[in-house]
Amino acid sequence: MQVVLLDQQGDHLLQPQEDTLFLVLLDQQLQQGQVKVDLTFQKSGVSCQLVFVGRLAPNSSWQLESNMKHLTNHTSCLTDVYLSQADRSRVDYFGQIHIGREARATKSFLTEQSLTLGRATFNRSRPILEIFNNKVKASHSASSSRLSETDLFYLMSRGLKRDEAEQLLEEAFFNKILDTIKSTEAKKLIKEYLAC
Amino acid sequence: MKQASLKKLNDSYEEKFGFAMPEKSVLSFDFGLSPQIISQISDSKNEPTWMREFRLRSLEVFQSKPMPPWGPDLSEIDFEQIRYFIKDTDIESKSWDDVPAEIKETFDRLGVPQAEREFLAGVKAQYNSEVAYSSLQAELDEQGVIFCSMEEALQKHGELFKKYFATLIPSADNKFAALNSAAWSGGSFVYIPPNTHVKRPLQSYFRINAARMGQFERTLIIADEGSSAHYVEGCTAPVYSEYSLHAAVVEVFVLPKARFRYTTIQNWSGNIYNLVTKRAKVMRDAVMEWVDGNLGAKTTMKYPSCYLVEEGAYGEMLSIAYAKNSQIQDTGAKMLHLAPNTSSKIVAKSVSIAGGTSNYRGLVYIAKVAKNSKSKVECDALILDEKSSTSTYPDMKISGDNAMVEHEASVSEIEEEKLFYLMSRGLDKAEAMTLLVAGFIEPIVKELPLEYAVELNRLIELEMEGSVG
Repeated sequence: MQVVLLDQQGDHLLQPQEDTLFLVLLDQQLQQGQVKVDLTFQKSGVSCQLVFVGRLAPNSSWQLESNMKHLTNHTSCLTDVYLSQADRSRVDYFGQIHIGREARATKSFLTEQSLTLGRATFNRSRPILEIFNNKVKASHSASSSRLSETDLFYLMSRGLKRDEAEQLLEEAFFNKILDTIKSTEAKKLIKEYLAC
Repeated sequence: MKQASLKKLNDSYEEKFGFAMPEKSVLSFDFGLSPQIISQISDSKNEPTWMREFRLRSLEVFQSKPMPPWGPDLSEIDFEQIRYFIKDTDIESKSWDDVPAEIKETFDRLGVPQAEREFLAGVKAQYNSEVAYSSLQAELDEQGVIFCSMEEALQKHGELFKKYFATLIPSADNKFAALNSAAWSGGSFVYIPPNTHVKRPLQSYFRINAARMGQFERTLIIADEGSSAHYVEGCTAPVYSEYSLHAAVVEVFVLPKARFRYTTIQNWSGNIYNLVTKRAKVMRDAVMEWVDGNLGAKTTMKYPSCYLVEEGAYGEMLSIAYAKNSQIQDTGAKMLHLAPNTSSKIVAKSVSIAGGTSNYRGLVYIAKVAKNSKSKVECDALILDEKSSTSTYPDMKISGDNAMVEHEASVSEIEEEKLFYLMSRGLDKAEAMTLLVAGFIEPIVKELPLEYAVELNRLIELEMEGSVG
């Protein structure tokens, strides 16, 4: 599977012709950002993964959008969105999976996870499914939560400072995305991003 | 008066439930809606001035509001071709013996659940636009529970009525709430006194029996502090070729530490637009549960909501939607967390078959002040053939610190492995699919009173006949 690193800003309208992992690493310094990725599947047998990874800076505001349009049969797509939110950061995510009448034997799944690290954050999530075919498997899941106080307490009882414990748990949160990715090249890019 | 030509649909529904009793209305008005008709409705009910003014104001709101720009197509509705008020019996019946034979026959043919036969005194049957049968059960009286028609409540419990009426769903809420506010007729009023626990479900049946007749019942429920009760409404209707409109409004107030469950089994005939606004205000440590089964209607738009306005409030929504033969079931739920430590849960299941469309549309809103709030949403859709479709449109807005929100949705067909297993045990394909659909909706069916669970399973079986295999 080839890996394509997409720009951190703007619209990306794509029609994948071969198995591809599209990676969007959101700018950690930016105060305002907008990224839209449309993948239209018109070639049978194509399998893709779209990954958004973002550590949103304090006071930053992001609009993210993904649209998966399956218009032919035997295509599949995984969409993963992993975000951590610092103080007063805002994110509005719209993620659509559309499976057309002709797109038999389609699989498409979307996962969005948001980890709240700071205070006064805002998170809006709209994961949409539009299914016009019965020979499909499709799902989406979205969750938004804070770091577990129990986990923090445990780590702090082992001698870590609160900041260090939070950092460790944030790292563990992002490690979940690494488990879903097979490409070593993509894993390397994500690790470098998180190390910044 | 214009005469509507009535023609039965050639639909399997007719063989199962579809039948029409002869129209025998004591009082009904012409088609369309105007200040004169609103005033006539108000006069016929001998209403106080404030209600008449409220109706007239609502009419203005209705006329000024546009149709919703989102959701299913409602362009076929012609509000001028609807008759806004019909009354079957000139007085509200006080005992079962007084109920007209036609109405009894209708309920017999519907297969009214055993619960109703056993506890007739606790049943309110709405036939056309007005409550036709009402007899308060002795034990409800003893407990001080008020369970009566809205008209009776307005006359006898005016202060209580006015304190709550239209405060949760004002007429400006949406076009159909405005329509209901202008033309409402019938519906139930329930008041549960503090610390009172009503053991038997309060039941109500709604029927439509006239073509082009809108039914705009209004329900107002107040569960006072520390009380608990369960209200059940079930709907089924005869079949006509011309559309009808059902635009109800339901307001539920669950006061501190009270617990209230509102169950609906909706089975309107396939020509009805069912556009309902249901909302509950849930106070400190109170619990509100909506249980909603949507099987019939041409188009359903229904999104019961809970406003969790005080700390510790809990809201729950369990729903089933069954869409068949170009039906559109556009249903969902809204949970608004407006106070700290509130929680909510939505479980929505849908089945689409033979060209049916089922949509989930929901909102989870966690306000900035709603610290430590939690919400969980599960949407599962079964899509049984290539002509059907299903969509989910959830919206989650989260501002509160320490909030936790989870949403999951899945769409699939019936698994071949499960079908194969059941067929290897001797079931034919249709039986196996029916069994699997019953299993799919079972988590919600089990929350229904037994009689309703049996009825719902029977309805699903009948609806599945001839659709699969």
